[in-house]
Amino acid sequence: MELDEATIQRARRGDRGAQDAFLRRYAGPLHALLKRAGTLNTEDAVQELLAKLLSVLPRFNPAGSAMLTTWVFTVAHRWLLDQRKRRHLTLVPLEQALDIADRTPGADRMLEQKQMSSLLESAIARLPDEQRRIFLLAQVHQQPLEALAAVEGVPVGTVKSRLHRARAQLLALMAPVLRKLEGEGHASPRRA
Amino acid sequence: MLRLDELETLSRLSAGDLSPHEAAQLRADLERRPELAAALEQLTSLNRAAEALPQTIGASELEMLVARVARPRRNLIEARFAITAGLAAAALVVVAARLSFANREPRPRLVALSGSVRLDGRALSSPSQAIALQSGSVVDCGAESASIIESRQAMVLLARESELALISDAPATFALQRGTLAATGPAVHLAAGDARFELNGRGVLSWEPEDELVRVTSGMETKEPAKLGFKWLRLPVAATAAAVGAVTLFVLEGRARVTLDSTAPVEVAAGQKWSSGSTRPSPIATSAALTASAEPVDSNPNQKTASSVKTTLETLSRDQLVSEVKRLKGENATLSQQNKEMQKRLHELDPKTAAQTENFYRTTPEELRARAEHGEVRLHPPALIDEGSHTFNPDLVRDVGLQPSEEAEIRNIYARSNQRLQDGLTSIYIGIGGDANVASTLDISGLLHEIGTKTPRQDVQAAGLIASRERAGLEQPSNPNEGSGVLRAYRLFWREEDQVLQELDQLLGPDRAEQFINHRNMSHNTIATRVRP
Repeated sequence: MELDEATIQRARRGDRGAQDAFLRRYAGPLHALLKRAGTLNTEDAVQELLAKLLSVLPRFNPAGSAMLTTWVFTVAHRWLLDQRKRRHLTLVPLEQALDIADRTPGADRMLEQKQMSSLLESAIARLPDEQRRIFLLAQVHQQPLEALAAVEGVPVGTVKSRLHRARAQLLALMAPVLRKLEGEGHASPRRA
Repeated sequence: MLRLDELETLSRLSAGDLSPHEAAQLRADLERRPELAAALEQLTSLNRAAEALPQTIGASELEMLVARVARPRRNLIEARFAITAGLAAAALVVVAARLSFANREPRPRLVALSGSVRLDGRALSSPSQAIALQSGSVVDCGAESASIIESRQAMVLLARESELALISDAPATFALQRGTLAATGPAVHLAAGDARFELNGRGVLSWEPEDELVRVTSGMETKEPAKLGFKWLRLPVAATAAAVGAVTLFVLEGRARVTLDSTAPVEVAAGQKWSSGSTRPSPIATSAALTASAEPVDSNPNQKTASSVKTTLETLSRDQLVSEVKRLKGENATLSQQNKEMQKRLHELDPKTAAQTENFYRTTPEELRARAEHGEVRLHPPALIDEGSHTFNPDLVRDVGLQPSEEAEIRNIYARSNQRLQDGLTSIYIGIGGDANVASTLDISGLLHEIGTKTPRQDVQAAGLIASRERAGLEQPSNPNEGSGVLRAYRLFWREEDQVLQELDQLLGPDRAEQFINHRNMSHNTIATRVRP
C-alpha cells in the first residue's frame, strides 16, 4: 500500500515517525529485491540503501508523475547497477544453467521437499545478472518497463527482450516441476 | 522439449508484444501443438508464482533493520523539539546500542600511501589520513600507488594497479577485484572471484597475469616494510608459474583456508600456494628455485661480464689499458647523459607529475588555446562535497595558514557550488526531456552522464569544440542559455569553477587562494574529454 501524501511530506521534512513508516513500507520489498538479486550481506546492504533513500527523499517530488514506489525502486535499481560495477558477480550462463537443471537427478524429490516458491528462487538465482535484475523488478515488484529502461540506459524494447528471455529461461528450468505439479493436480500459487 | 525462442515468443504473446499477424500465427500453432499450449499454461503459473514470492525477512528482523538505519542530520531547531520527546527513547536506544555493538569491530581504515588512490571513485591525496571504510567501499590504486587498510584482525597492503572492495565489515572482508594485495593478521578474510580465504599469518593474493605479479610484488618491497610491520619477500619466478589469468594465494607464514561454493574447503600451509585452476595446494617453489631467484634479475649477466673483462684485462699492455680507460670514461659520460635525459623524460611522463604540475587555480590563456585546438574540455567539479564534515589535510592547513573560520567558510563555498551545480544540471536534464524524479536520484557526475546520453553524438562533439573555444576566449556565445544540453552543462561547470575561485580570492586573497588550490594535499575532481586526437 502506498503511503499517503501527508506522510511522504513529513518524511521528506525529517519527521522521525513518518520516516519509520517509509522505512517499514519499503524495507521488506527492498530486502527481497536485493537478496534475490544476489547481493552479499543483504541486511547491511538494505540498511545502507535505506539510509541513502532517506537522505535523498527530500529531492522526491510528490507532485511528479512517478509514484513513490517507482522512485524508490529506481534508486534501488541504480544502487544495484552501481554494486554490480563494483563487484564481480559469479554468473552461470544459460547453457550451463539448463544443463544443471536437466541433469538434476532429484528434481522429483525436490518437488516433494520444497515449495514452488523456493524452486523458483533457485531458478531465478541461476539467471544471468541483467535478466535477473529486470525479471525481479518487472515481474516480482511490478515496476514499469519505461522506468527500468531509463535506469539501464537501454530502449524499452531491450528491457522487454530481457524480460521475455528471463521468463523463457525460467520456464525451461522449471518445466519438469511445473509438469509434475500439473500432473498431480496441484493448485497454482495465487497472488495473495 | 521446446526451444528457448519458442518460449520467448509465448512470453511475448502473453504480454501482448506480438503483432496481430504474429499472434494469429502463434494461436494457430497453439491449437496444433499441445506441448506449446501446455507451456503457455506453465508460463501463467510461473508469472503468478513470481508475483506471490514470499517476503525474505521476518517482521522482527525488519523492525531491527529499520531501527539501525542511519537518519539524515536534522537542523537544530527541529532537533530541539525532538529532544524532549525522544529523551527516554534515546536512553533505551543507547543502552541497546551499547549491548548490540559492544562486540563489533571498528570499521576498517584506509591510508593512501602514495600515488593516485581513489575511494569510491573519489581521488584521495597521498599520504592521506586514516579514512573509515563503509561496507561496499571500493579502493582503487592507480599506477605507482599503494594503500594500506587496517582492521582489528588484519592489515592489507593494496599494490599499484589493484582494486579492492570491502564487502563486509563484520568481520572485515576484502574482495580483490584485480591486481595484488599482501595481507597479514590473525584472521584475514579475503575474497576473489568466487573463492573466499581465511588467512592466519601472512600471504599474497593475486588476480592477474604472471609477469604483472612479479612486477607488483617487486614494487611492494620498496614501501618501507619495517614501518608497516611487513617482512616482504621477493616471490620467486617459479612461484608464479600457475598464476596466469587465475586467482592465486601464496601463504608465506601461518596457514589459510580456501572455500569455494562447489568444493570442500582447502587448507593451505606456509610455503604453499593455491590457484583457482587446481584443486589442491602446491609448494611455492623448490629451495633451489628460491635461492636462484633471490639474486637480482640483472645481476647474473653483470657477473658474467665482470668475470670475462677480468680475464681480458690480464692480457692487455699499459698503453692498451690507458686507451681502454679513456674509451670507457667517454662511454660512461655518454651513458650518464642519456640516463639523465631518460630520467627527466620519465618524470615528465609520470601521471603523478602531470597532476602535480596542472594549475587548478586559473589556467593560462595559452593552455586554454592549446586545449581549444583539440576540443579538449576539462571540468573540475567541487571536490569537497561532503558538506560540513570535510577535514582538511594538516599540512595544507599549516602551509596556507588556514584559520578554523576560514576552513568553515571554504566548506560552505564548496557546498553552495555543489548545490548550484546539482540544481543547474537537474534543470538542464529536465529541459532536454529527463524525468524529474530520475534526476533526483542522480549525483553531479550521474547527471552529466545522463545529459550526455540524451544528447546526439554529433552535438556532444560540437559542444566540446565550441565550449573549449569559448573558454579560451576565441569565441563568444550569442546566448549562453542556448545550445545542446552538454554545451550548457560545460558552461555551467566553468561558471561554477570561476565562482568558487572568486569566492576563495575574496576569502583568502589571490595568493593564498592559489596556494590553497594548488597545494599537493588538495583533492581535485577532473572530468576531461577531447574531440580531436
